[in-house]
Amino acid sequence: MNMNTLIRRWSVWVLTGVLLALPIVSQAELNIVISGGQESGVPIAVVPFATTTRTDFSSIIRADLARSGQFAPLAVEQMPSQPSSPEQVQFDQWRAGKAQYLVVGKVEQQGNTYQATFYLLNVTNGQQMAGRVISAPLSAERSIAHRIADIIFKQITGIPGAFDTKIAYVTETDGPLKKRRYTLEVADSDGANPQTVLNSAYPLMSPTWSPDGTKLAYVSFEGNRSGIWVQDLRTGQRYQLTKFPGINGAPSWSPKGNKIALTLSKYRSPNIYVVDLDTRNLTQITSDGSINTEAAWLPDNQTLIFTSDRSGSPQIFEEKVGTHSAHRLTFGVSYAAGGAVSPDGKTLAMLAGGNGGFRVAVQSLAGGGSDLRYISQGGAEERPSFAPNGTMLIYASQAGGDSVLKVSPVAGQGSQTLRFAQGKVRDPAWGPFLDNSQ
Amino acid sequence: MFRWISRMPLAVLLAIVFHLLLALAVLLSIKMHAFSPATEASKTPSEPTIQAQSVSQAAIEQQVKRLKSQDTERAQAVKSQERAAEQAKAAAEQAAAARRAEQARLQQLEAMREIKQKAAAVQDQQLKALQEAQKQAQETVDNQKKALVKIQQEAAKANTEKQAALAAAAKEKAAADAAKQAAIKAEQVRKESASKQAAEKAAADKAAAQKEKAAKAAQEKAAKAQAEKAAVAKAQQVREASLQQQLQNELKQSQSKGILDAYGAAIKAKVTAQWYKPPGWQPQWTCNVRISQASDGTVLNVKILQCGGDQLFQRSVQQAIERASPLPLPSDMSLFSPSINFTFTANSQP
Repeated sequence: MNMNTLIRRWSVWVLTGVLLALPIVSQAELNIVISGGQESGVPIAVVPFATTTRTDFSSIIRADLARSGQFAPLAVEQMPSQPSSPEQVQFDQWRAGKAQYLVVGKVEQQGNTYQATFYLLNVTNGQQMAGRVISAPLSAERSIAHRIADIIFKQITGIPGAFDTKIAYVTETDGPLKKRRYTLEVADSDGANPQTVLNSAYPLMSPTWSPDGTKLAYVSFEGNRSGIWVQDLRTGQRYQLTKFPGINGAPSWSPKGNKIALTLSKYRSPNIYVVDLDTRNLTQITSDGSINTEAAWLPDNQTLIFTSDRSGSPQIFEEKVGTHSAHRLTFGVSYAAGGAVSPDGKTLAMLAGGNGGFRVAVQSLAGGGSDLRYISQGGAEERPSFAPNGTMLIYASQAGGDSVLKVSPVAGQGSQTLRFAQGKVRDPAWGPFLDNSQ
Repeated sequence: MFRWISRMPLAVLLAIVFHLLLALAVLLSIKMHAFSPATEASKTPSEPTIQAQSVSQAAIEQQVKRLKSQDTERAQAVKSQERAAEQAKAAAEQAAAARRAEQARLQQLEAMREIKQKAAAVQDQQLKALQEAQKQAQETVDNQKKALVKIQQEAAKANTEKQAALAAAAKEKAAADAAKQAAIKAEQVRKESASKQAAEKAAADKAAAQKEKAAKAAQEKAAKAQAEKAAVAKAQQVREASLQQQLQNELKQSQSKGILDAYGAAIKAKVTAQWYKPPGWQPQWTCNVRISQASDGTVLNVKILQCGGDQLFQRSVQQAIERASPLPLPSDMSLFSPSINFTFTANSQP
C-alpha cells in the first residue's frame, strides 16, 4: 500500500466525518450574551380607575410607585386607552407602548365604605398577576390606593410594599422664640393625612416608633429640661420614661419592643444606655469619656450601633449589649453620624460629612465603607430613617430656606419632597408595616 | 511506590490520564502529518526535475542515431511543439489575467487555503501522469509527441474543469490558484519539450538504425502508457469530484457561519433594546436563560436557569425576552435555532 492510496483512504474517512458532522454543527444551539441594557424603573401603566368619587386613586398609586425609584409609571397621556377591567384591555394596543405591566380597576361606594376592584396584568404575555377587592372606610380612601400600590410592588419586586405605612415627624412654627409651637405629627407615607399627636410650647425631638406601630417615644423639653416620653397613639396617653440630669436624648425602640436605647449624660459626657420597659432597669452600654449618642438597633434585638468621637472625628460603631466592646463600622468618610440599620440588618444608612456638606449615604453594614454610596445630593441633610421594607429612606433636608422631608430610593437615584402645610419639618421616623395583608 | 500512589492517588491518576492524552496526541499528529497536503505539495517540484535530467541522459544514447532520417518528422514535431508552447503561453496569460481579476477576493484566501492545497495534490497527480508519459516519450519521438499533446490536452481539460467547478462553487477563489498551478505546469511542459527537442535532435542522428525496433517497442509501451494514464485520469476524476464536494461543504459552512452570526446579532439587538434594567442592579449580576421558540420566532417558553440579583432583575430579563418576541429569523431557515441560551450581564462592560 503506497502513500497515495493511504492518503486517499484517509481522505475518504475524513470527508465522511466532516459530512456527518455538518448537520450537528448547524443544529447547535445559539448562545447570546446580552450586556448592559438601559437602566430604567419598571415601565408600568396605572390606568385611572372607574369611580364616582373625586379621589384619583391611580395618581396616588403612580406617585407611590415612582417614589420607590424602582418603577417608571406612564403618564395618563401616554396611555392608548383607559380600560377599567381586564376584558376591556386590548393587549396589542399596549404592547406597542413601553409599559410592561398594566393596572386597571374601579372603586365603588357601598354604604360607609369604598370597595376597590383592581387587576395587575402582564402586558407582555397578557397574564393576570393579581386581582383583588379591597375595602376601606370612606375616611381612609387614600389607604386603598396605598394598599393597591403595595400589592403591585410585592407582585413585581417580590418585596413587600411600604406605601401603606405611617411616618412621624416634628414641625416647628415660625415666629419669636417664646411664641413658637412644636408639634409631633403622624402622616401617611406620602405625607398626606397629617395628624397632630402632640402640640407643645417646648421643643420636641427624635420620635421613634414602637415595633407594633401603636406608640411613639420622643424627646420633649417641657419643664425646660430634656426627658424621654412615651405616648400611646390610640389613646393619646403619655408618660415620662426618663428625667435624668443632663441630656435625655436620641431614643431608639428595640425591634422586639421591650427596650429603648437612649443617650444620657448625667452631667458628664453622653453615653449609651438601654432601658428595659418591663423592669425599668437601666443598663449602661458605653462608658468612656468621649461623646456616644444616636443609638439604633440591629434586627437581632441585641446589637446597637451608635455615633462616637472616640477615634477623633464622629464615626459609627457597633456593640453587642453586654460585651462592652465596640468596633468601628465607618471608614469611608471623615464624618459619619446618625446611623440607621435596614430592617434586614445588612445596610447602614448614615449622615456622611465631608466636602459636599452633610449627605445621606449607605454602605453595607460590615463593609467598612468600601461600598459607600451617597443617596442625597443636597448637603444639608439630617439623620435618615429606613422604610420598613428597606427600599427607601426618609430624611430632613433644606429647600428654599425651610426644612422639608425627602424620600429617596436606597437602590436608585433622586429624591422626592413630601409636601406639608407647615413651615419647618424635621426628625422623620418611618413607622412599621401596618398589617400583613399583602 | 504503592505508598507514594496511595498518598497521592489524584496526582497519579492525573499523570496517567496526561500520559494517555500525550500518546493520543502523538498518534494523532503522526496521522495528521501523513495526511498533510502540505507534505504532498512540497514533493511536487523535486520529482519532475529529476525526471527531466534522466530523460535527457537516457534519450541521448537511443535517439541520436534515429534523428538523421527523421528530419521531416522532427520538423513537424518542432512545429507542433511550438504550437503547444504557444497554447501553453496563451493559457498562462489567460491564467494570469484570471488571477489578477481574482485578487480582489484575497480576503477569503484563508478559507480557500485548504482547497488550494488539495488542488496542489491534484497537480501532483497530473504531473505524475506527465512523468509516466515522458518516460515513454524517451523511447520514440512520435509517441513522445502524441503523449505530450495528449497530456497537454488532458492538463488543459483538467484545468478547465477545475476552474469551472471552482468558479461555480466558490466565486473562483481557488481558480486563481489552479490557474497559477496550470501556468507553472505549462511552463514545465514547455521547458521539458524544449529540452526534449534538443535530445531528439541528437538522438535522431545517432539512433536511425534502431528506429524500427524502437518504434515497435514504443508502440507497445505507448499502449501501456495510455492504459495507465486512463487509470490515473479516472482516479483523478474521482478525486476532483470529492474535492468539489468538499469545497461546496466548506463554502456552505462559511456561509452558514455568516448567516448564524447575523442571526445572533439580530436577536441580541432586539432583546437588548427591550431590556430595562431596574435601578439597584449590581455589576456582578448575571442571568442564564434558556428559551424555546416557534418557527415564526414566537417565544414559547422562558426558563431561568441561574440568576443572580433580585426578583426585579430576573423579571426584567424575562420581560426583555418576552417583549422581543417574535425573535428575528435567520435568512436561511435551516439555521433556525428552536432553542437559545441567553446570558444577561448587568455590567455593560463585558
